[in-house]
Amino acid sequence: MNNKEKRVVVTGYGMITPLGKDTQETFKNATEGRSGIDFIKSFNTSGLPCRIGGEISNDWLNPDLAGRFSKFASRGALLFLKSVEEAYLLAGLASVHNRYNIGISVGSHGDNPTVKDMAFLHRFYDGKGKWDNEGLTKSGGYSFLNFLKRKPDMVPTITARIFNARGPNIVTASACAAGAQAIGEAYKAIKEGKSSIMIAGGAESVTDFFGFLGFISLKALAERYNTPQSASRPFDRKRNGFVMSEGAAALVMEDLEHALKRNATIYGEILGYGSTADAYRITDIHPQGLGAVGAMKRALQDADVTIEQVEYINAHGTSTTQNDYIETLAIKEVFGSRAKEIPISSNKSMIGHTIAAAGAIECLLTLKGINESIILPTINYEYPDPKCDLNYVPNTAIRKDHSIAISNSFGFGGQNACICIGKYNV
Amino acid sequence: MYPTTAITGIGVISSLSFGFKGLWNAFVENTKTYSPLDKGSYFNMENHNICPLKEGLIKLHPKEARIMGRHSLMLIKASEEASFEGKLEDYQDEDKGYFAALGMVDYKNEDLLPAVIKSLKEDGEIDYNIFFKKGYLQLYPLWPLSMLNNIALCQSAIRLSIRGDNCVFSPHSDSSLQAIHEASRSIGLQQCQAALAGAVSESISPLSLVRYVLRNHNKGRLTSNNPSGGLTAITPMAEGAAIFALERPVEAQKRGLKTYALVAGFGSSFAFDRTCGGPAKEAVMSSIRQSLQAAQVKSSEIDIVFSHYDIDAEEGINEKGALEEIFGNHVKIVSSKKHIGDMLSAAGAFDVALATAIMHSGHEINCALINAFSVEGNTTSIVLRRQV
Repeated sequence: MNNKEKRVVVTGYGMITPLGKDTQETFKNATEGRSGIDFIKSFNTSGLPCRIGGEISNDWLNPDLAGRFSKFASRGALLFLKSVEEAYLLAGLASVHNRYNIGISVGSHGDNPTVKDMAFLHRFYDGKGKWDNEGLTKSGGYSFLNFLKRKPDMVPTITARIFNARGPNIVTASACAAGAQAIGEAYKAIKEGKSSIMIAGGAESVTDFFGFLGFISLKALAERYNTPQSASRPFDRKRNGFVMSEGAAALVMEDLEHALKRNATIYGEILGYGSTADAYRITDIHPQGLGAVGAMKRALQDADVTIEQVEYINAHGTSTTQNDYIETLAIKEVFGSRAKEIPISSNKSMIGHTIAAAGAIECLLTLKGINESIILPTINYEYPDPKCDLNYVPNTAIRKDHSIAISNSFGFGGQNACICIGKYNV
Repeated sequence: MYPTTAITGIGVISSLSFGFKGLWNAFVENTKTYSPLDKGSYFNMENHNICPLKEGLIKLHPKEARIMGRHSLMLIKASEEASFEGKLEDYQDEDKGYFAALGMVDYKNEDLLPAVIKSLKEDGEIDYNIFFKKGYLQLYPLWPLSMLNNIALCQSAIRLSIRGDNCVFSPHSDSSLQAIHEASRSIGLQQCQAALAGAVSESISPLSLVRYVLRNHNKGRLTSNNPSGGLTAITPMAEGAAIFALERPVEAQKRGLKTYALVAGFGSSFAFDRTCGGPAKEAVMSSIRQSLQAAQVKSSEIDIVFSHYDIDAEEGINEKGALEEIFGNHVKIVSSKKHIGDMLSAAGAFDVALATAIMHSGHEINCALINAFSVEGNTTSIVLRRQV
């Protein structure tokens, strides 16, 4: 099989983030260096060491979109549907006759249980390891619908049903790399000829109590900040953790020939994809960033792109001490002396960390940047860290024509993905 | 052309057998693996059976017990067996890929409940102020690891030093065949030289069992014989894992490895049929036809089909219709779930192991088709061929 047989282009896109209800608004606010982070309003955070996050206004959602599936749809699913709606319209997918030629690939993890769920479950637990499952089943209180909302595959399933996409239906669940891996899997499916069109992206909404507790327990969230807006500070010396956020993004990826045949507008090209595993420690990144290095090298090799051709790096840049330092090391390892010349920025400084959605949101913002000749900034960059000594596009976006970029995503546990994105050239 | 790969190692854990050897004999001897739920204690759902692993087969290391779920251990054990037999240690870490479907990961309620218990009022209701302010401090710090689906694969990758192309799929029943196909594709694209691929089921636990029962009652499934007599309400839930070592056939030959079977074709589709509560017939036909076409195999060349459903049951009507339309009435059809229960996300991979086993059991089986679907409407099919 020759992986150069087919070119994969982007013919539609959509997103919803704390920075904006759609791609245009998110990109505009990101260009202006705004932050989407604020104090959490959706649940009581009193007592928690981190009380901030990136929340999306309910007014931006369209519950009607889920229709009869709304009972099964997690908040992450609703976010994804909103982004797909935008992408679907932009790509004109309604006019595609063969629906078996449209697939879905999504990075998603499903909902967390709520405190209410836990309290309810307690009624059927004797505290000594014994459960009254009969009572639990008969009660119907911890409902079947709650279980469904926790299933990651409900997001692509509901999306496929609503948008009548009958091709491959894939869900990736690889933590913070899930969105990028979903795009990578879609890219491969088109290259292989399994589907001509893939709606690919990521969705996540774990800005809830148990989501926070999890990452607070792991000491991963920012706990020291003057204002919510200044808490996410990738590559800055005073960074001390990431900021949890929610969001979704979807790309309509298409076989070039198919896109040309139907006169679709082409917004860019996915040039290559690489993924690796650290295989180091569950709670730590490989100290030399071997996995990150491997993912970047593989994406460039797959794209047949040299390090000299790369003009921008959209960093994973979580704002944790460990990630930002090791990502810097990895970029230096891959790009050598060029590392200091290439602008690098982290969208998480403005949006926060959207976990499974991050890779997709950042891939799309990178693509928009290429089309608009804008390199988005890393905001809250105030105190340079001697260990992070590259060009992180501090605080202000720059205008610059650029044609080829990479977007990094590194998942908790040690899964890494990198996507190489390019301007569409005939 | 499909990137055909050779299966050079197989790791299986199920209630039928611990390991690939002996799997087929246990299957044909119809070894009883159903266990009635223990009424009045841990599980007490009336008339319900399960197919659990035998206790003691997988042991938890005390240090790892709190961050490793049972599914992690099943995945590790099956992966180690496949990796050892396929001699994956001969490859560089970066050249080895890993693709696995992982069943739903449930929260360990024992980890979460202390926080709830600490926050209860006298009337049994939860005091949210106490919970938010100090109850949550009862939680075990590494508890969040149990909520991430990818952690099992990462733990196994660490054990086996696998650093190449990878992906976690979750948790459709069809995702295991998707994982095997992705590994073949990755090898074909030369993104890795060899790969482990397959699936692990979810662990049988109070939450997974309740979810399974509710899901199936919701569908109105009232099928499957109970070997111990009477009728069970639904197909028993089973746990297990099946993992395969894959590489290019020519490389396997060069390295002197036994090739169990060739992964020769794959197809997938999606369409839901509301009347039967599962995949539509046209989606089933589409994935089967894609897999045959990819394998360059005629329908008449398929000797055996491992069906997803019990095709004699009402729920299997669309699959039965699709098989009849494509194969006529002459193909042998096996439904392993009658014997082993439903492994959910691992069901397809387990059937690939069974199909491979039958090819090596003296039967004249040269070509097998395996179907794995999700109740939501996903369909996948894989064609296995005997290496000539």
